[in-house]
Amino acid sequence: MTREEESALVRRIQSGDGDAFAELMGAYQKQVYHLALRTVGNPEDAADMTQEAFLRAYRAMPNFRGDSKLSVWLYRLTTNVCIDFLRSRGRKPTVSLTVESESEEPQELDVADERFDPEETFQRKELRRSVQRGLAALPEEYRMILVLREINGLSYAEIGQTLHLEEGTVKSRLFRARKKLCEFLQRDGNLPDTFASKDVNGGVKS
Amino acid sequence: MTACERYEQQISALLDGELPEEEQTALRAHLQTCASCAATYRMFSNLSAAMQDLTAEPPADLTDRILAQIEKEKIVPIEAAGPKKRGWKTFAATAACLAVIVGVAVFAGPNRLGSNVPARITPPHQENVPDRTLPESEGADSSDQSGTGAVAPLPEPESQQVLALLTEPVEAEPPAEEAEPACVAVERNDAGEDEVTTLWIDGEDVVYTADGEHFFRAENAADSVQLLLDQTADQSAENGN
Repeated sequence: MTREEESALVRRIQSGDGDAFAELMGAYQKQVYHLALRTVGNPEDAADMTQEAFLRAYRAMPNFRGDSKLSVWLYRLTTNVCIDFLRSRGRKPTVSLTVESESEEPQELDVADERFDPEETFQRKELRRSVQRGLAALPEEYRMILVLREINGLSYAEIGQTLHLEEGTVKSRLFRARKKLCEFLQRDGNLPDTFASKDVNGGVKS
Repeated sequence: MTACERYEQQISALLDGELPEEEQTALRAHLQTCASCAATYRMFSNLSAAMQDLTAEPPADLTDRILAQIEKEKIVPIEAAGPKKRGWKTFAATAACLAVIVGVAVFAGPNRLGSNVPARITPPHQENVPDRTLPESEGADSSDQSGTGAVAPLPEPESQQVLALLTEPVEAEPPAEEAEPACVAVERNDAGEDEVTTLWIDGEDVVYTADGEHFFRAENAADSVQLLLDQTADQSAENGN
């Protein structure tokens, strides 16, 4: 959604257009839910966090001035809701294998691309599970920043806006988070440098 | 920081598309000669791929649940109007002062309003909290005309819902002498004290005060507040009150 489309949508919501908020949810619900899921760790809490984040967004919409992108603003609300939730309960995220075995979320199991040979498919699944466990084991600050970058695809500047960090801090914290997660994966028996690597020239924005 | 540690940080930024062009050349040259950093590159890059491989679908009914909740709370967004930020700040300061006010405002009837401040304030422990539903107004003839003239303190969570509607307030004059209060919202603050807010409907706006001295106006909030009050009154009626 472009900034112009965003502000048009915001104006419609602010003027009481009931359909406009449903449109907003249609555009961002999946990302908000995914962010919540990776942060709190289980589908049930993630759905509650998503609901709370959108309700807060709805109540706060009259005050939205468009200083940041609508998506970034929503992610900030979501991370705040999730952090409040985890801290109020003194909780660690509760991700486990049960996340994947629950029938509500079969997608977790079915995303493997069948074009790959079974061995690689198995490895990918194992790695995904290991990454989920590793994320849950990471300190909150590392988990959150990795998810915002890798799953929500935010730039360093946008992550800075979401988590109230300097860009330099974003850069170094992301690096440390990756290091930590790799260490976890190695201990977990999943060495992510062993297969399906990208070319050294890949992954670079033009 | 060793040279390799610096390169490892750059690898992380490179994968994020955030490494300046001039640093990319040196890093790429280093990756051709340093097995350890090349392994780090592969690890980070596979980690990114694995994370992006994670998917999640929200429950199919989540949108409906959220819309139903909005409907249930009768949250009506109020059009943001003009430069009114100052009003909120003033309100926040007032709210801070209010933390010391303990009590439940009880309106015995609009004819006792006098100067538009709560008719009397009693500490909550005196159990003088009136009927939570419809008031037994002494001035029944004049106050009962709408059938929804609930001036008894609203129960939670209705109080919170009403207060949530009062966005973007501006400082205002007290309502006219003859104005009837729409409702009284009582909210328990973090210190366990009850904060009392009295609301008047004034045309399309809502005028309210929490201390009887400072008054605020929330423009265009009347409809949404009235909706909520009607709903509360309906529920009371259904409950046999």
